[in-house]
Amino acid sequence: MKRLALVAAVVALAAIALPLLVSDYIVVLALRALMYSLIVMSFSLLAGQLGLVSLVQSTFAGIAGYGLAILSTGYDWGPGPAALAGLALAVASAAVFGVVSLKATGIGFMMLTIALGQMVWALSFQWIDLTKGMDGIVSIPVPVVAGLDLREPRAMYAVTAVVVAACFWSAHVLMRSRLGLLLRGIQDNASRMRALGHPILRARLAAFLIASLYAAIGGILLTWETRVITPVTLDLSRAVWVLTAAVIGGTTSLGGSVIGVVVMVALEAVLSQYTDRHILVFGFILALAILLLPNGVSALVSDLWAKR
Amino acid sequence: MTLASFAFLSLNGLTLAALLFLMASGLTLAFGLMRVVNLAHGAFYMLGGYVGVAVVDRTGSLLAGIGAGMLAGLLAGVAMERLLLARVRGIELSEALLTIAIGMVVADGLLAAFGGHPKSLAVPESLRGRVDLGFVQYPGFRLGILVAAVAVGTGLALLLTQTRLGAAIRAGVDDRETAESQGINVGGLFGIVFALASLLAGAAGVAGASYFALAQDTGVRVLMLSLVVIIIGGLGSLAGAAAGAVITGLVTSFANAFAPQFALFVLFAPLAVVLAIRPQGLFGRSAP
Repeated sequence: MKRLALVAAVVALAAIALPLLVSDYIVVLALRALMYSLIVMSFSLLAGQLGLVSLVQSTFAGIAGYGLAILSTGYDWGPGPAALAGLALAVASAAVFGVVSLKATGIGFMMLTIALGQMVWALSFQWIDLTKGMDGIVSIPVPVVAGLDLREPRAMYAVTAVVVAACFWSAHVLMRSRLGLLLRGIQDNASRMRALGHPILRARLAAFLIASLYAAIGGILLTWETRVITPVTLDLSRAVWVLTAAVIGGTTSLGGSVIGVVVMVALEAVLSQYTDRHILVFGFILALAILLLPNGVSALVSDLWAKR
Repeated sequence: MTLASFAFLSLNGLTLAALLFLMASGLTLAFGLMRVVNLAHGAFYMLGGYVGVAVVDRTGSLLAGIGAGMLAGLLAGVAMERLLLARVRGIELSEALLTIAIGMVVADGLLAAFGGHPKSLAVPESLRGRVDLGFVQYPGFRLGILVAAVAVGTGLALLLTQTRLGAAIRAGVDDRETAESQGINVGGLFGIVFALASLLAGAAGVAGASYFALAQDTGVRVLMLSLVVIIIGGLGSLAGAAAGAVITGLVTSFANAFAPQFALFVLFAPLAVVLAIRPQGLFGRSAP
């Protein structure tokens, strides 16, 4: 426990010091990593705590982003209210999708989340009046928070770091709460938990909504960062990117999400100098990770740690 | 709406249903046997389509193209099952995630090899005509796809009900452990069904390329539609795949004409209704 606190403190200090020491390019990469870590954490919470592999989490990030973009460009909403409405839209979608899909488990659930996510993806390029189709929505206004203009990468970094830290801390608390305990009980033996009188479906839905909110927060931040949103945000390859990061990092601990995202963002930065075939390379990496690292890097690290 | 346009949209829906049935029948039987869902199935459809179209362009023979598409699907399926899935056998999630990874590699590789421009199948001159059905004129080639799908469906149904192989597959789908304890090699059966499913996906890719141009996102769209089909129909059921394909095809076709902005999203309605009333799907035995 003390070790964990120490590691968390070192990571936090490094994260604070980073923008003072490095170039703009690295700051933007770090920003991307921080924002994506929320979506990956959203995936890992469901996969690690409930055994639910949901390929619709990046879709909730996209729904929040589209809500924000549509309201703040087409309807002149301020960035703050538009962001809140985007989050509400994402959580409402998660409630509907959760009710439809959470009776299923295992592969059935995963298949449903792919189908649902790709329906939303289709909506994003077919409902052209609202979403501007494949071109996407551009020039999304970015707010000024506490005197910090978020168009400036270092200002964005400061706000993002605080938001992401708060999200990870709350997820950490959640995992140790009664709900977190119940979720792990459900994963281990759902019928025993049901026999003990616990509301299985409601607990699953609660976890699904909370996880989706984290992804949606990541989606809002990403939309402000890029100031553009297109159907690529909702593409299956984006969901698989998140999945790959989670598999690399491992889903059993929150730290795994961060490790996975850092590895993926760094890889992407290196790869983009050599090839456009990112998806092909990530497919290979995902296949290798599944075959060679069944529990992810974080489990590998904690195994090594335990052996010392 | 006139009778002719209603008939035309219905036939379009049924043609799509035919393609989806070719995709979903193998997918659902393979799932029924080993609880493995091949999420590279859409990529195999694309592979068959691109290879088939390239062969038709070179040789001018439609049959050679369809044969080449089937062979490409078959080889990809057998290679994946033997070389990769066999390594994580029995770990359901790893198997599914591995198929996603292979699907990404195949789809992106095809994009690199064939370029991003949409490609369609050049249907031979002799098959391009329209057939007069009395109430509507309909392209003969699409009617051919419909007939072929009905023939494949009938063939599969006969295989399942009339042969020893089919009886073994049904036993494996119903209760894998009991079937195995009776000496049925369910793993081997799965290999056969998986290969057959991949072959059908390759064939569907060639036939479908006459209708929907092959493009970057074709594989994902077809995968999504196939998943909707087998979830609505019930996992593991051939009749379910047929019913799910007809519902999905017709809904998509009419939505395309009347609400193009929701053409695919509309499928949420039948999916949600079926899952609310019968979580196991129309013909499914138990919840997925």
